[in-house]
Amino acid sequence: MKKFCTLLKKDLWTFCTHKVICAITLIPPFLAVIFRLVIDDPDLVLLTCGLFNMVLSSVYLHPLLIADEKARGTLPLLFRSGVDENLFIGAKAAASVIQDIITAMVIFLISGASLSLLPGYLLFNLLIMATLLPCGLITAVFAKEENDTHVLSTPVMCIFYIPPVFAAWTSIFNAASLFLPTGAVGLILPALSREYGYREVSLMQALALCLIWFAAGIFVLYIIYRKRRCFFISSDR
Amino acid sequence: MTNIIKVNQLTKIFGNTKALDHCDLEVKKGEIFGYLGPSGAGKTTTIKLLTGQLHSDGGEITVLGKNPFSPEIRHQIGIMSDMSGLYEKMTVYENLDIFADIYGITDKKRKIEKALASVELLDAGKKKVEKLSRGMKQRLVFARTIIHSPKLLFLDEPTANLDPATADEIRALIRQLNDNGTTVFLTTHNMEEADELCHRIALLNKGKIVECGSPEELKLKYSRKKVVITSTDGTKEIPLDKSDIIRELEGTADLLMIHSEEPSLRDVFLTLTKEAYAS
Repeated sequence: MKKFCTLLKKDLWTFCTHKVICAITLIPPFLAVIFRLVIDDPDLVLLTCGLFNMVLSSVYLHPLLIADEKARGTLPLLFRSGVDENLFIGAKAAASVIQDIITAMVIFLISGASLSLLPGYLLFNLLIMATLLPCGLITAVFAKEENDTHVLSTPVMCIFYIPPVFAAWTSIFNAASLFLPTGAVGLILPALSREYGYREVSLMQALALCLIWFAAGIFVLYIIYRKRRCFFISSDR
Repeated sequence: MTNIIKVNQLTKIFGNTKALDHCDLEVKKGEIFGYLGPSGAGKTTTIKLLTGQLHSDGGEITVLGKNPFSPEIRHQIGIMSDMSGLYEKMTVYENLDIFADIYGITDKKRKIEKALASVELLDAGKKKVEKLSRGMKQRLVFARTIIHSPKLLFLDEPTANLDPATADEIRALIRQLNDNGTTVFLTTHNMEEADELCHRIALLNKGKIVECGSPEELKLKYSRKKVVITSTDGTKEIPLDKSDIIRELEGTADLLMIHSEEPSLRDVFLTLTKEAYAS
């Protein structure tokens, strides 16, 4: 437990001190301020910036945290010091979730949405984070350093973010969002369905979709682990 | 003396390249063992195999009586390599604090201060690592490597790219640790450093151990076995034989200098690698 807390504290400190990671973390709240001034619709601000934050935290920032350790050479060092891979991955995931929740709350406050939406919004954040963290981990396994993460994570982010946001405007994105866990954002923002024509989603549908994506991510990670015998100690080439 | 590292027929293959080819070696407890070879010989690969960072493709390895992947030995070994990263935005103290927690060190504050004092970085404890010079960073890495008082140290070219003064400081630290009972497995391509520090060495070339022994043994083995006598009559080279030397000295007018000609470790290595290349 002490090792986990040490790693978690270090990772949370990285969010504050690493210039690139800190700047990227601040993008969604910054956009929320802009959108709030331009749109003045709390639900749309939450849809665009809140969803952006969830996807960014899980498939971009989470692998970036890991790639940063690879680039500075501390990742093999931690493993040689007896840090278990599971502990390492767990601490990174926990740090990403904490960062996501904090940023999500800031965005919620900026959006001016009704407080009654807050519990559902935070729970949805946690659900999306849990679903997409395995995807982020897959990126982290293959990214050798930070630039690789930018290249690999950006298209993944676009896939999970763009269709749900523009689902009401194009039938293609509407169809695509049926298969994406982030497409269930209508679950927490029912007003979007009434006003903008976003599809209504039941809780069971949302949970089932998230479970399928989570299972798919875990399955891919299992295949990677079986082939490499580990995720990150990649010198065996 | 017990063997702290035992390697039997160790082989490692990367693609079509045999990085290590049936290597045997033993490292005794309490010695500084030098593992020498040119770049690409397989030194770092060997360290990775011995420290459980790579799986071998043949042979057996025991470190501290156990498999290198055994979690029990993680806290008994220290590893310093070229990829010894530091958390640049953290202070010197914080960098050691993280690893003190990971190793589960009790009396953490005292041990960190002791490690910093041993590398003369006690006054720099609150400085951010990004502000340190290269030599100071290397000393900090060394402090981090020894903070948990390991029984066995793996040092992969610890003085590479350092200025002579800092390199001397690191060597002095290595000697001090060894005097206190730590076994050291040191890789270097600096033959003079190995000659100065190591009790025994192994010479590695293209994945094979070509020679093993103490520096003195190897120098004597590959000595030309000649004595050079310089007198007012000039310089003569004669075989290293007592009766020949005595006869020559008796016939010498004014003796100016007499010395034997042992090769340096560098000479030994160049001889061996040329032989290996030729064969």
